[in-house]
Amino acid sequence: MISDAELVARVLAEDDRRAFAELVRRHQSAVRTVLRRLCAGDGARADDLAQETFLRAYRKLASWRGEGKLSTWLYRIAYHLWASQARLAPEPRVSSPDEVAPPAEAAHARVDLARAFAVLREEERVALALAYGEEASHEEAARLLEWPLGTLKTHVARGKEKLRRFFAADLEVTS
Amino acid sequence: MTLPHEDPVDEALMRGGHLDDGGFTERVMGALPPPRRARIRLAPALVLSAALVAAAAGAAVVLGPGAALVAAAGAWLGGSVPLLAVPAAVVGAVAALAATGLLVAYAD
Repeated sequence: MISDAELVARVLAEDDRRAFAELVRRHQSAVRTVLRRLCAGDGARADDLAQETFLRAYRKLASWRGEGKLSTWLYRIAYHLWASQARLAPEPRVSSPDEVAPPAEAAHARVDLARAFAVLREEERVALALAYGEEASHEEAARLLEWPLGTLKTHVARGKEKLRRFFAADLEVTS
Repeated sequence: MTLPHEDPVDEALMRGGHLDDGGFTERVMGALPPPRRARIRLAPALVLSAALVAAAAGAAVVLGPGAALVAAAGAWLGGSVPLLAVPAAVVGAVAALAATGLLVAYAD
């Protein structure tokens, strides 16, 4: 399989659209999943941001130095786009599981998890979305966010605890 | 250490799953700016068009209403204007082609 670095080189040298399409195909799922979590399950908004992420990546591709993973670089773009939009129009945070549609079927578990992110504070949501992205690690997420690793782990732990409580409450309601 | 199967939240976070493309890549590719090569190849076309317009204007001057002026200048210079016009046209054409070639090479 051709490496990401080689595909990027082709795009930069020849404006090779097939190479760029391959990069989008490879990374779309990871970028869209992170954005769905950041957008608390709002798939349409997440996909708009994901599209803008790849368009921005195309324009700035020369600035990716190939030292880190391309996926981490894409997460950084996606996160900054989401954060700048969130600053302009902060979304209301839900305070109880009742305000979030409960998980209905196993097939929708991923969507429901993303929706459950609505109960989290912004820092917890960001920490969980980026630390658990595809090919991501806590260390990379901390670097990306320019947070100390300890801070990231604290937000991850708090966020996970809230999600546990959310799903536990939901089980009580539905059982 | 907590094993994934012991913590459903941890498991769900790590599982993530794969989102089907569902036309997303096509949507992104459709939103990209036009290919760079096509944009740059417009430049040689413009240079060629400009060269053709200049040649046509030159011919109009030499063969048309400007013929008398050329004849007068020729008489003054002892009939050397037509002889000068030929190398000048050749140099102009070569310059235009060279400029076009450079731009195409740049585009490639």
